[in-house]
Amino acid sequence: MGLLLLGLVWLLLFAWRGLAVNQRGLPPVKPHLEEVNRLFVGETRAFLEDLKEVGPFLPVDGLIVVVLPVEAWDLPWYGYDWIYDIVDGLVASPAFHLVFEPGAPINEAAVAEDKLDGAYLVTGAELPEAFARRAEELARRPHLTLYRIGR
Amino acid sequence: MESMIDVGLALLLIPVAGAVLLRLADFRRQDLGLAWLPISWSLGTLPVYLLLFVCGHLGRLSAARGLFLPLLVLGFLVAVYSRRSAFVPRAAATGQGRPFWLLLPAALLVTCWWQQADLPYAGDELAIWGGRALCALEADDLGPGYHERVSAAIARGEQAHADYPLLNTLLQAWAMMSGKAELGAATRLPIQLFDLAALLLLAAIAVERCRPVFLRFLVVVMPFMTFWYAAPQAMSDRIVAFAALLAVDGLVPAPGRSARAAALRVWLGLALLVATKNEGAMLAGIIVLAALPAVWRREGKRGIARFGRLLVPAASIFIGHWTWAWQLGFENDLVPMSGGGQGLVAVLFSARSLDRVPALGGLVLRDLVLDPFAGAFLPLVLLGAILLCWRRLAAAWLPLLVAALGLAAFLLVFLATPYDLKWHWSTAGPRVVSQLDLILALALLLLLGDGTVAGDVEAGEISPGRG
Repeated sequence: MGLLLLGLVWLLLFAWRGLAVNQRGLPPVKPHLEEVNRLFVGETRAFLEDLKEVGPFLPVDGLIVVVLPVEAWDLPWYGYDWIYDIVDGLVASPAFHLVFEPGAPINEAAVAEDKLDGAYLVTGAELPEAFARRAEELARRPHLTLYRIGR
Repeated sequence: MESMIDVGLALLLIPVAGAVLLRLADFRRQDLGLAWLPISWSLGTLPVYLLLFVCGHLGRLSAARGLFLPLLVLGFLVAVYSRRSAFVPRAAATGQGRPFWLLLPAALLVTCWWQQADLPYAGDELAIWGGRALCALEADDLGPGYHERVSAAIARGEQAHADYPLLNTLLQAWAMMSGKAELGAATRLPIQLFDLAALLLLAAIAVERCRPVFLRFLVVVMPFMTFWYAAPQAMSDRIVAFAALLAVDGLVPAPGRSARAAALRVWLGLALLVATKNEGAMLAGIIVLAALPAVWRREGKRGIARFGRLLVPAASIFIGHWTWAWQLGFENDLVPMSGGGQGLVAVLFSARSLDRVPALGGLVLRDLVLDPFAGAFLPLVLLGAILLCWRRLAAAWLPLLVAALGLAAFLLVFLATPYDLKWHWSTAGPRVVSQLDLILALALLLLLGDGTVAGDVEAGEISPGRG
């Protein structure tokens, strides 16, 4: 009886946490373009700090994308290891994505000023055409890796 | 599609080679029960690895493809005409079961792969494993041409860890030699199949060692529903997890299993561990260290000598690989042998590692205990099983000890990493520690045993290599 209960508790734990966590953990292949509707370009750190405040309250079908022109493991070398501190506060939002764009030219000056061209927020009511084109272009690149940040 | 069929046929040769080797070593299908297929697959990868390694070292990697089939046919003919045990009656091993019941968990895993079939080939699977396979094929060797290409890729920031063992890389090269020379689903397949082999092996172990049907089904299925097992990526962690399960299972006695069958599991598991990853070699060392006291206590010097013979394949692969890496000047980034960088050992004995303990503890609690992302809640369920079946704890001591020592070793690496802890953990932590999941699952199966909560058992006896 005890062992049966143990098995049932295990199943319940998995159903409660496992399915949701695993869904979040599996890297999606392409962004959902129909949900893309606002571009943000600016200071990366300030942008992410803002997200930390609003991220958990965004609608589930919204999408936040941050594009970094480096591989994930290069972040510390470019001084972006603090991103992990910030995204820890964002995991409650299933709509948050970090996009790493390996091979993209790194603008050293922009990095020094903490401004990344590719960081943008996608939510709201309007869809600028220029951004839609950019997002479509990103989605078509075979080498682009899209990570969902979550645990 | 045509390319996939070619790759499929080339991969089919791997379990066939394993089956031929098993027959040459006088093993019948009944001797290994349901574990015959996963053992055939994993055993078959070793001749592919060794042939490619030797041909690559001699400067003609592509010659391996032409040599493999004639060697396989020769082995098959010898196996058929020797028939050493044809008239020797032997009892079938335990854990026979009906293969039909394995179809459901296997279908679940394949469905997960299918849903994510278009996952981009990127990250570590490209930078560590796949990229080197492309370099080896382009250079057609594992010597100067390979060194030049890998070094250039590392300088461009496209690759890392040139010192890592080559089993994964060479299996992907084998798939490309038979199909298109590009990385993707076809080259992931030989690595993914280790997950399927692990699932079948765990199912075979469950049938052999555990009676409660509901729980043994959960133990077999749950680890493979986690991210690290369900994602179709060509990562080596899954080979390490499979090999560790195989070796530890061989070291825990099972009623009705022959000592030869146990010894086969031990040496094959240890050899695969060493051929796959540096962490695999570390885990192999931990398994040997954990098992040695019991071997000494039960069987004395002769037992140690018998156990020592089982380490020869792993030791040969280890020496061969590191001689090759040393000749080409590849060294480990965590433990630099030259250059004066701040390596693992230096950080471990500094105050920096102690400062990291609380942060690392939090990460472990979050990612391994309270979350099924990497560990499928196995530590929590194991705790429950220990409380319920504490009298059977003696039966599960070896996998529990290996898992505890393995976890401690992995965590020490993170405490002493020369990199930023959070960054290193987020890129590798849950994935690396999930290599211990299947050993935890084995411990759980042993604890559950016949399903009686207050069952009493004798302490497990280790007798690999006897007979």
